Parts: sequence; C-alpha cells; structure tokens
Amino acid sequence: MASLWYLANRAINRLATLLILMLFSFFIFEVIPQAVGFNLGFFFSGITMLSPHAAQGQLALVNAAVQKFGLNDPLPQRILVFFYNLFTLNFGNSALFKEPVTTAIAQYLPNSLVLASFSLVTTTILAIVVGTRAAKSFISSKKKIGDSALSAVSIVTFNIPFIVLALFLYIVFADELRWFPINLAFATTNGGLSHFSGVEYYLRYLWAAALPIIALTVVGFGNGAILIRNNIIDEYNSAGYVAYAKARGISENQLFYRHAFRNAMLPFVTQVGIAVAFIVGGLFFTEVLFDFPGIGYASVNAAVSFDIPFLIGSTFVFAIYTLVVLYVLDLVYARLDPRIQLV
Amino acid sequence: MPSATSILSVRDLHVTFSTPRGPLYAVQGISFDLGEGETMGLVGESGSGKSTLALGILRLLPLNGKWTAKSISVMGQDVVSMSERDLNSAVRWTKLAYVPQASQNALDPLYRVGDQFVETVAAHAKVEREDVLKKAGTLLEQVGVDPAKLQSYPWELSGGQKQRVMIAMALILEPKIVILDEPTTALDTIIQAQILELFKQMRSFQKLSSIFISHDISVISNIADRVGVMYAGSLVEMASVSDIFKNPIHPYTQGLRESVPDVRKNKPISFIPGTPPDMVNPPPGCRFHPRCPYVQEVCKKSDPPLLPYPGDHYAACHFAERWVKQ
Ligand SMILES: Nc1ncnc2c1ncn2[C@@H]1O[C@H](COP(=O)(O)OP(=O)(O)OP(=O)(O)O)[C@@H](O)[C@H]1O
Ligand SMILES: [Mg+2]
Repeated sequence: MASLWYLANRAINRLATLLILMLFSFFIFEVIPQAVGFNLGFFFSGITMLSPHAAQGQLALVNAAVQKFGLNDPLPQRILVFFYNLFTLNFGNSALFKEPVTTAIAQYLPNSLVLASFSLVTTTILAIVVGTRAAKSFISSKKKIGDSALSAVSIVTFNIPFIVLALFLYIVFADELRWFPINLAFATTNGGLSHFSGVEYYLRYLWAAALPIIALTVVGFGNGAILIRNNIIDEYNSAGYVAYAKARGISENQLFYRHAFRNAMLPFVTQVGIAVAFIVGGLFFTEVLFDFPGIGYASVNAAVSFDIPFLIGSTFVFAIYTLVVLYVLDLVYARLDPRIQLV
Repeated sequence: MPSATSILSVRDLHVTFSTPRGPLYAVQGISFDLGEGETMGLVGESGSGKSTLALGILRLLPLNGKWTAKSISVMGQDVVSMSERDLNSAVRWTKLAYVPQASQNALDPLYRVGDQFVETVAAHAKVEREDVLKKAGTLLEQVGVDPAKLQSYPWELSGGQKQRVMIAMALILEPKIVILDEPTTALDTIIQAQILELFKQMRSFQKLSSIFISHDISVISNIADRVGVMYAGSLVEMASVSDIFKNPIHPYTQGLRESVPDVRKNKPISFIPGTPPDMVNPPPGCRFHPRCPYVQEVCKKSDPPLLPYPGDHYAACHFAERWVKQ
C-alpha cells in the first residue's frame, strides 16, 4: 500500500491546484468586473444592480457587503479575505435566488452529484468492459469481428457532438416515445398531481436522471475504451513479462487478465481524471438541456443575471468535487501500482 | 544427426520476421539434436539469430515472426502441430524451461517475486502456496539470492539478482531441458563463475539438458559439451567443445577463435573483417563468402550444407576437407 508520504504529497498537490484555480476565478469574477466599472457590493449583497434608484436601506446593504467582503481593500488583502470566505463557506448572498449562496448550492448540489457520479461510474465501467472485450476479440479471435464492431462504436460515439446526441435522446426518448420524463419535476410530482415518497420517489428520481446520465456516458466512454483496448493489445503482444509468462505455460486467460489487463489499467486511471473534467464541464449543458436543476443549471441562470457570488460558490464546489475525485484516483492508482511507494 | 538419446530434436526450423523492408530471414533451416544431459553451447555474432532460434523452439515468437519446421520434438513429442493449450500443459516449463535474454523486464512489475513463482507452479500443479515459496526460497539460496527477496517486487532487485531469479524460476518445476539465453551477461565475473559452478552441479544432479547461448567463448568453453556456431541464421559448425576450438573447420569459427583475447598467450586479437550480412537481402551462396579469406567462385553461387566429418564434427563449408584434421 502506498506510503503516507505519497498520500500527503498528492493531497498537497491537489490542494495547490484548488488554490490556483480559485485564484484564477477570483480574477475573473471580481477583479475583471471591477476593472470595467461594476460595483461588486451590489452582487454580494444580493441586490440586483439593475435597479436604477436604490433605496437608502438597499444602499446600506450594498455598503455593508463592500465592508464585509473587503471589496475596496488592497488586492493582497482581498485575496486573503477571498480565500478566508471560501474556506469558511461564506460566499455571500445570491441575487438570483434571494438567499445565501450556501443555501442555494445545498439545494442544487445533490442533483449535480447524482449526475456526475453516476455518469462517472457508468462511463468507467463501460469503457473497461468495451475496451477489454475488444482487446480480447482482437487477441483471441481469428476474424476479430467483435473488436471491429466495438472499436467502431467507441470511435463513433466519442465523435458525436454532445449537443446533437443530447437533443436526439431528449426528442426521441422523452418527447416522442415518452420512455423518460420530460424533466425532473414532472417525474417526481407526476406533473404536479402526486406526491411521492420513499423508494418510489428515488426510483422516479433515477428515471429522470437516466437520460442525462446516458447522454454523458455515451459520448464519454469511447475514449477510455479505445485507450484500454490499445493498451491491453500492446501489453499482450510486446511486454516482456507477458512473453515470459507465456513461456512458463500460463494460460491465455491469465496472460490477458493478470498481466496485460492489469498493467493496461494504469494509464487508464489517469485518463479517468480527464473524463471527470469532461463530465463536470458537460453538466452545465446537460442540466439545462434535460431541465435537470443542478448546480450547472443554476450556474447558467446565475451567469445570465450576473450573480457573481453564486458563480464563485459553484466554481468552488465543482473544483472541490473534481479534485476529490482526482485524489480518489490517486489512491486507486497507488493500489494498482506497487511502485507508487517510491514516489 | 540422429541420436538415440536425443531429448530435443529440431529439424529444418525456419523463422522469418516481416519488417518494413521485407521478410527478414532470421533462422534459415536449422537442424540439431540435443542429447540427454548434454549442454550445447550456442555462439555467434550479435544478430546471427541465436535468440530467435530459442524463441522458435519455444514457439514464443513475436507477432511479426513466422516459423516453419519439419519437426521439433521435445522428449519424443512433436510440438509442431500441438495446440497452445497442450503445449502449456505438456511441454512448457514442466519439460522445457527458459531463461530469457531480456531478463530485466521479464517479471511483471505488479506482482511480488514469490507470487510469480506461485503463479508458475499453480499453472501446472496443485501445490500449496507455502510449499512453492519454500522451494523457491531454497532455489534462490542456491543461486545466491536472499530468499527474503521473494517478498520483493521485481523492480526492487538489482539486474544481477533478477537474472539469478530467472535461473531459479527456470528450475522450479525441475524441467528436463533449459534454454538459457545469455544468462550471465549482467553479472560480474565472480558471480558469473558461481552461477556457472552452480549450473554444473544442478545439471548433474537433475540430469538437465540445456542450450546455453552466450557471446562469451570462455563461458561456453567452460560449460558446454558441444558447441554450435551460428552465422547469419544458419548453423555453420557444430562439434565437441574441445574440437571446435582446437580444430575449427569453418573459416568463420577460425576467425571467432582468433578474436578471443587470451591473456596467457599475450598475442594480439584479430577481428573478423567486414560486417554480418543484412538478413533481408542475404548474399547468395555461402552467407559468409563476402568476409571469407578463402572465398572461391563456388562459394558465391551455392550454399554449402551442414555435413558430418569424422569425430561427430559438422560443418557447412565447400572446402571443409581442407581444414579437417586427419
Ligand atoms: N521482432 C523482430 N522483428 C524483426 N526483426 C527481428 C525481430 N527480432 C529479431 N529480429 C532480427 O532477427 C535477427 C536475429 O536476431 P536475434 O535476436 O535472434 O539475434 P541474436 O543472435 O540473439 O543476437 P544477440 O547476440 O545480440 O542477442 C536480427 O537481424 C534481428 O534484427
Ligand atoms: Mg539474442
């Protein structure tokens, strides 16, 4: 098992990434708008800046926000305050949702977590199954039909533009065939007619989540499947330890799974990290398209109405999610590769 | 060369690699017999096809390698038409084991050395893990590696340790035949001498027959009973170890002998001039003719077969008679 040093090293590494990422978003969400002349106090007090004659009370709130979030302080100090607020989960108020950002996020987050986590799991499993089957067919069968078919499917699905696939799935399976609900609210209330609870609620919830998860999975698995297929074939045919194991009379199945497959998994774990970023990026689109109210969905609305505190909060939450998954992948990698102890 | 006690016999083995430049004829019709308990040394320049010959016999060629043979029989069993499955259960490692030349990456980095011993034995017999480890530990001790290394991963071993682990691995199922491809190259001379000594003990103890491939003629003359000389994919000469270096017939073997430094005689080393041929476009006739100091017209046209001469001495040279000691 991996050494403590490795665990700490990776944790520090991921934390540093988080800080850099948030510093970046600090400039995008605070420094740039201010530089072009916006008063950030409006955004942070949750008072819409479009109101022409702000009432006295409102102005006081705006000024209070300027004070509280140190919006007029010198930059170094503001950066410190920014990070202090981030890590104390003090994001300010959302103008759009008329409540503290934390409350709004808490409400939307579970939906995004469901989409992201389920599609990550299904994408990974499908990539492994398809890639392994294709490699097996390539290695063991004469005609390699299975490989040709699976590889073609992987390459084609990976190259379909996400929007085309998502629209297609939505129109065909939700709108026309009605196999899936048109959105989450409809599924969980039966169009406002019923109130579901317990197991039935969760089943209906998953029913609504299925289509967006399928969309993310279909465009997402191909890349990993091809990577796994190529890695396994490469290991099987050219790794010295596979040839040597073959010399020792070890069965083809064992050569394939114990040696080629397991070694081929290592680069795939790294690739899953890329898939996570892809899925999180795809959430904005997916949630809007499938009318599935998660953080991505809320962020798009927040962006349209300049709800900067919410955008900072959601960026932070997505960044943490991604980095936690990456950290888990670091642990998985360490479990798979004993050489990690040396790092 | 039929032999009553032949334990491994190879007839007309050809191996061709497909390369971007066209087919590469790495092994061109090799036949020989390995007697029971015999150690056959195999020498030849780099690229002459020694490893390819070994891989061909083991049927372990890479994907771009194609082989044909009239027969390859291991302890009387023809393996040419055998399925992979039968080969695994009846021949590989239980009868015929192998120490690969590329011993540095032959062990899977993801598994402990001990587990790879267990894996090997488990593929052939139902044996308790503990028993395998005990036996592997004994073997490791014999090759001079601390048995505690069974708990290590391959990348935690030094190059020489890995090479010795490979030797122990080859012996774990007590095979009758072992093909060793440059088994001592990564070792310093002291360890090398120890390993050779050990190998000699084991072979008399276990009645081991072996093919011992080496660049090092001094190693070969120390260990081998008989020596085969390879040149450009063919066996050009084969004789007992004393004969081959005392009375070499083939001009290539003569050159090879001269190129061995001899500290005792303090004579200058002479090298064979020229370079080995391109195996994609080998020269016509005798492959050695472009470098042969005695080349004649016939050598450029016809390829001399490997023929027997007195004293169980085989050579492939049109003018062999000239060099045969009467
Ligand atoms: N996989 C391959 N594809 C193409 N050519 C190959 C392949 N393996 C070996 N060869 C070629 O076959 C010939 C014989 O190679 P081989 O490895 O058998 O030589 P060798 O006598 O073992 O040399 P060395 O002493 O350096 O180990 C060489 O010309 C080599 O380039
Ligand atoms: Mg070699």
